[in-house]
Amino acid sequence: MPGSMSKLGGLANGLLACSRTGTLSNQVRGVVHKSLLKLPSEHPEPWDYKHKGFNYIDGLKDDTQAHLHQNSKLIVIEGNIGSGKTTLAKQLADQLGFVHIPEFRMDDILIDRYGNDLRNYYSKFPARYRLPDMSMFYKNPRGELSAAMQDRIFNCRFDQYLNALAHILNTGQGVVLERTPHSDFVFANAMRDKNYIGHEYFKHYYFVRKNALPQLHFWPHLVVYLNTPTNKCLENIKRRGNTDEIAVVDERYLKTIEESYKDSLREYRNHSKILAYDWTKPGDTDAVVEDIERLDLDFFEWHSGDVMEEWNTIVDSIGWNGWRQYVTNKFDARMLAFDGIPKHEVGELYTNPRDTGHFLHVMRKEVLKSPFGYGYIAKNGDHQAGITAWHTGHHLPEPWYEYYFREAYYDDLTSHETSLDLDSDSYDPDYVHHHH
Amino acid sequence: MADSTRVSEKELERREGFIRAGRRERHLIDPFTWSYPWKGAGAMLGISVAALYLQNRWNKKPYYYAIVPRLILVGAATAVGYAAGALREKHYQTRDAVIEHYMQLHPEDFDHFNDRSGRSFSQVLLPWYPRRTQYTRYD
Repeated sequence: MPGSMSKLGGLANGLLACSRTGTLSNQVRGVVHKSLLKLPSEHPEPWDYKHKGFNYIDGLKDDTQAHLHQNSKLIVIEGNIGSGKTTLAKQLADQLGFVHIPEFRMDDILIDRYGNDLRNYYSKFPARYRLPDMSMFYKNPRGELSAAMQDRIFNCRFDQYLNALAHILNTGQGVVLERTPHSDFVFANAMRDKNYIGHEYFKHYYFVRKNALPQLHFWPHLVVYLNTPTNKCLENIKRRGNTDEIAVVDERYLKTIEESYKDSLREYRNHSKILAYDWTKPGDTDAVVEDIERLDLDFFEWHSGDVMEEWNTIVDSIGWNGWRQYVTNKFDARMLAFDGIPKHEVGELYTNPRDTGHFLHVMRKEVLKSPFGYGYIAKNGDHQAGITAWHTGHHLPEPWYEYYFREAYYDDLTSHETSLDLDSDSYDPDYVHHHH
Repeated sequence: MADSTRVSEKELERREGFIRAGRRERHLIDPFTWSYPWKGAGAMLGISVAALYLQNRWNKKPYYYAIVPRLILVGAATAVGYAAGALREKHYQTRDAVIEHYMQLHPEDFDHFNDRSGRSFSQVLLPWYPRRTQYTRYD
C-alpha cells in the first residue's frame, strides 16, 4: 500500500516541481535534513522579493516552479503560552535549512524605519492611537484598547502568513512559522473569557476571521502542536519573570487557550498534516526532524479530502506566478480580507475622526517632523527613491512591505483637518488635554 | 431708419473682426488668444499638473514621487488636449468653408445680409392699439 501511494504521490509530484529531478520522479521524498537536500546545478538563485517585489513583468523573467523543491514547505509551530515553541522552531529551522519566522509581536510595527518608537510619543497621541504592546496589555488587560490590539495582531498575523508564503514561492526555502491567523482565535477566546474584550468585538473578530482566512488560500503543510500542560506553562512563564505577565496569564487563561487549540487542530486537520507532541518535558528536536522526514507532504488526490489541496491543484506556471504575485503583493489579499466590513457597531474599534486628525498632526510635527511620509524624508537620509513607482496598493518607495500597519497605513490615513492644512499649521498640542 | 442706430462701415468691420475667432493678436500670457490646439494642450497640461501637485500633497509625497510614469501620463494628456483642439479647429474651418461655398452658389438666398444695418423696429413690430380688459364690456 505505501508503494502504490508513493507512486501516486510521485505522479502528483511530477505535475509540480520535482519532475525536473529525474531520480526523484518515481519516489516520494519529503522534507529532508538540510545536509541531505541535493538541488540540481540549474536551481535558480532566490528571488529578492523583499527589494524587488514580484509583478507581472517579473513573472515573465522568473519561473516559480523552478524555485520549488522537496523542502519548500510551510511548517507551523503551535502551542500554549510558554510551551517552548520558539526554542523548537529555531532548532527545527536550523536543522532543515528553513527560515524561522518568530511569532508576531507589537514591537514589530511600533518601531519605524527611522528608529522612532511610537510608544515614546503616546503621551502626545490621542488615546485611541496608544495601541498597547504586550507588556502594556499585561499591565492593564482591562484597558479600552485591548480589542484594538487584538484586531491589529490578527491583521498583522495575516500579513505575516503571506510573508511566509511569499518567502516559499519566491525563494523555494521552507518556512517555520510560529502561530498563524488560523489559530489566533485562541487568544480572542481567552480574552473574552476573562472579559478583556467585549461581546461586540468578539463577534466582529469571528466575522473578520471568517472573511479573511479563505483569502490566504494556502494552508500549512504541517502543523506541529506542542501539548504542554498548563501548570508546566505557568512554570515557564514564572521563569521568564515578567510580573505583569504572571498576573494576567493565569491557569484559567491558559486552560481556555488549551481548549481552543483543540478546535484549532480540528480545523487544521482538514487541510494540513499534524504532529502533536506531549511537551511536558521539552522533547528532542532530532526526533521531531525524523518524524517530519517520515511524513509525505506532497501527496494529494481528488476526492480524498482537502489536505494539501491548495498546494497541489495549481496546474501551470501561470497559476503559480499568479499566486506568487498575490502573496507577495498582499494588496488584493488584504482588500478581499478586510475591506468593506462595517464596524460602526463595534464600539471598541471606534475612532473619532478628530483623533485621526490630531494623530496625523503629531506624526507630522513631532514624530517625522516632515509633511512627507515614510521613505520620502530627505533629512532622515532618504534618497530620491520611488521616481518610477508604478505599484498599486501603497505609496512606499519599496515595492514590498512586511506589515501594512508598520508604515504603509500612514499614507492611507486622512482627515478633514489635515486635508485642508497640509503642513499641520493648526497643530494644537493641548488637544489631548481637551475634553472630548 | 434713424441715423443714431447706424454705424460706419469701418466700425462694422472692426466689430466683426473682433468677434471672429482667431482674429485677435496672440499674446503668450493670455490663453484666450491662443489657437485651439494650444488652448487644448494648455488646459490639459494645467489640469494634469494641478492634479499631480494636489495628489502629492494629499498623499504626503514630495514632488518626485512616481514622477517618471506621471510625466509620461501628463505628456499623453497634453497631446490629447492638443489633438482635441486641432479637431475643433478643423471642424470650424470645414463648417465655414461649406457655408461660404453655399453662399457663393446661392447668393440670392443671402440678399438680406447686404443691408448690414437691418430693419428699424418700426418695420419689425406690428401696429399696437391700447385696449384694456377691465374696460371691456361683456354683455
